[in-house]
Amino acid sequence: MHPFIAERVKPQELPPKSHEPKKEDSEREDQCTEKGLGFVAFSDPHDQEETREAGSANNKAVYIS
Amino acid sequence: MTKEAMLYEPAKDGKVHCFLCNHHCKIADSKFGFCSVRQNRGGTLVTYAYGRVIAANVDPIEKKPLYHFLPGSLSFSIATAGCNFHCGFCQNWQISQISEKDAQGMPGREFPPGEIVRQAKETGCRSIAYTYTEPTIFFEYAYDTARLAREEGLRNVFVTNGFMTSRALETIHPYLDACNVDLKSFRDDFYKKVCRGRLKPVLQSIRFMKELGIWVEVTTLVVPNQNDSEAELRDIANFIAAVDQNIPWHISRFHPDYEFGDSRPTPLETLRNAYGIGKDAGLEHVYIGNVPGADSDTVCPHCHEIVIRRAGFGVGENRLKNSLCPSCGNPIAGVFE
Repeated sequence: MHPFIAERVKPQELPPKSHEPKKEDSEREDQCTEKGLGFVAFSDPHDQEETREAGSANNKAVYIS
Repeated sequence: MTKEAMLYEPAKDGKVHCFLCNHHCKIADSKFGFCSVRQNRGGTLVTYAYGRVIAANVDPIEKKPLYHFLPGSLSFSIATAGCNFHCGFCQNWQISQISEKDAQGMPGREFPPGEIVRQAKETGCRSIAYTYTEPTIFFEYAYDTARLAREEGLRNVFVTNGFMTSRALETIHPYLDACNVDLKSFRDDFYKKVCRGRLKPVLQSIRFMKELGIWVEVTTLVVPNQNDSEAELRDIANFIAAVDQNIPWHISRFHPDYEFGDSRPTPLETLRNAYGIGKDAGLEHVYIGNVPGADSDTVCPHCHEIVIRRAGFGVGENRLKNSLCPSCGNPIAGVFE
């Protein structure tokens, strides 16, 4: 399967995660924040679960709210 | 941010004629076009749909859906808010249907073309997809980004309603590699009432894209009691086959949304019938979409061997060798390199 990477502009508004972030998640978020646009990329299964409904259909957008 | 629009000319009485899409709006001073993102400001047409994205995701190319264009690759997918159609069943209506007032404070995040290209490369994408909403309405933004992307070795993809003018296609085609065109119906009434568009220009665009050498796939969202009659599906399939039997046809399942929230999802039986209609019309590649577990493999039309095996939006195995079936050597239509 492909990695699913969803853009989140306001990560602080996401529901609290029910798990501790893995090390690689933190590193990835740091890297993305350094890009200067505030984009945060996720690829861990929990986040995929959250966006599955929104992101699973052909051409369905995950958008900036 | 605003930018002077492309593809317009002065008209009588201080109006401007926008010929970006087939609405051909004649816009009076200070007024907006049908798309709500282009405004006549003292005889200059400006666009608000430039430089700000409302969505930006790294998607599998299969999600567009494009199955015969760099299968298994990632596509950096962007959209601005706005659309030139108002489809009652739109699944992205929260970002496609915006008012003129909203457009003037264009929602989203600043994202210059050069930054899009940089991030696309950084995330391992092989293409940039202009998608989710209608790329025609952010044409200038897409055009500037596509030119830069091409310089950096990336391909460009439109997921579109096909309502742009031939002038728009001619302008962007040197940088445009592939399109997935929504052929939403084969009835002009449906386009007028449900989408606020027209059928004929969409058909013309599909033909013209093929003439220009752009790789084309077609999607039809099958909506119960709207465009699901056998006769209409047959008309769509026959049209595609007449243009080119190698154009992949994606038959997508509808899920209730927006003004069609009370409707029901498309019955699987309807989708299976549509699949048969497509094959009967002579289409080589027909796919059912939005149905988890549906067979989405690419099969060689000559020997019927599976050449690309898919699971969800992922490619499990791509057996093509130089775009040829590894079993019989038959060429498979598409862009694979």
